[in-house]
Amino acid sequence: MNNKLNIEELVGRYLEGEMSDLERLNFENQLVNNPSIQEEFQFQKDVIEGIKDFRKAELKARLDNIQVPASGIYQFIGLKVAALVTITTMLGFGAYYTFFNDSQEEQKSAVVISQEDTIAESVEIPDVPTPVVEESLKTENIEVEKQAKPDNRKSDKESKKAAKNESEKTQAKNKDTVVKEMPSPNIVKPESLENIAEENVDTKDDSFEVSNNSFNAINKLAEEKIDVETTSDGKKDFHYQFYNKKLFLYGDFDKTPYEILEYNTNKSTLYYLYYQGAFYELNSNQMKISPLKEISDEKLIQELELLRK
Amino acid sequence: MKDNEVLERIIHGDESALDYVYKKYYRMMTNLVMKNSGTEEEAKDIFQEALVVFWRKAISGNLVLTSKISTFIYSICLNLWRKELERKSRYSNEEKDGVEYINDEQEEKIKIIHECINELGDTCKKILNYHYFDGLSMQDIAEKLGYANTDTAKTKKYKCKQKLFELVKTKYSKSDFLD
Repeated sequence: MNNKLNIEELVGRYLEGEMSDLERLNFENQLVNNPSIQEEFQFQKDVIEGIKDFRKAELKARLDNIQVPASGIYQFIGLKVAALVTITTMLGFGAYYTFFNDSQEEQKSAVVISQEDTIAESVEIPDVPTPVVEESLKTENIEVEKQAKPDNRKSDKESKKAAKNESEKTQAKNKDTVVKEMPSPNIVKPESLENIAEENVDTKDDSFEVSNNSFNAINKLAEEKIDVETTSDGKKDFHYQFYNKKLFLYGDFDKTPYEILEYNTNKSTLYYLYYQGAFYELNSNQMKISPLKEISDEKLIQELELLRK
Repeated sequence: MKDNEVLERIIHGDESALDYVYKKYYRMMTNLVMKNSGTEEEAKDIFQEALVVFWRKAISGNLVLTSKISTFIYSICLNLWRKELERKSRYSNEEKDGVEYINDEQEEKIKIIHECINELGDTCKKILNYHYFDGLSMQDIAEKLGYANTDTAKTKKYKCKQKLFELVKTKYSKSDFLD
């Protein structure tokens, strides 16, 4: 029982599970107390593990040599994601640019207005702040009134500037409102560069100059103008829509002069139509063809009348 | 290839069925590990280990699919990776020197055993693999290798094992693993 062959045999039968319960119990008792059995036991276990491990290594080596298409797909997806990110970024940039451009325009007119105020301030109204104009009619009223004050006391030019879009402002040095005659009136933006340069000289304001430079850059990229196109096909009578920064008027506008009033707030530009003695609201977000609605608010009409002057 | 077909082919020892499963689920299974703080290398290893488990389970005839193969392999990957994470955290808390010494000696022994297996003839390799790795019965081994009966297979297996023991013992003594 103690010779080497017997031990080998014994351990082998134990590991193969060939022993009866009684034999196994006996063997386990001997295993604890007999170092020779322990050694043989460990040896055979190692070899059997080695056999398993050998086969496992074989299979894994086989799998390792397989070209995993998933990896390629992963890269492909990666590329798609990259493309998507690029597109999104481009879209985002486009949107940002549009927004940025808009805000610059708004900012521009705000700056212009405040500059007007500074000029006015030295003369008489030091407390007129940079207009903070809400879109609600009430605040508009206040604003228009405020700006109407310097308008009465000072030259036409200044009140007009304060109340108008920057592009109009420069053009409208001789008029309060832009009055366009038929057939296809366009509010054409003048060369703002000249005008701004003039103002720079006037104010000697460095910060203002800096912002002007940025405005110029923007202006070069996107000409700021509101085109108006009239259509009188008879189908849509007295309707309007804004599309692609262009105002479309539907109706018989060719026979009677009309006026487009632009009113700049620091948030947005409001447009009104004056036609045959009545004012109509022009919602610049109105992309669908919509009927023109006459303004009935007496206060607003008064202010718009003031603007027209 | 449907799950049943994969299983059928593996039972017949068709390794290409394993290749198919490997390709099909590679990304899914490796992502599982990589999303749980594993590297791609670790992920690949875990997936391969899982496939080895799957292979052994399938080829021994002990696998009755109650779910999809992918679900089964996924759960194996999950378990293996949990064990590996536990092992890693245990290992980082232990005295590393002693552990490394034991591992080195064990690795050397395994290397020697592998060399000896390579010195065996193909039939011995197959029989030992069928028996110890695949867990095939003597009946199955006899059928696979075209032996007349299970006794022939048993005898053959015994002789192959003894031969391997001799080879390993000889090499061990050269490497001073045995007194």
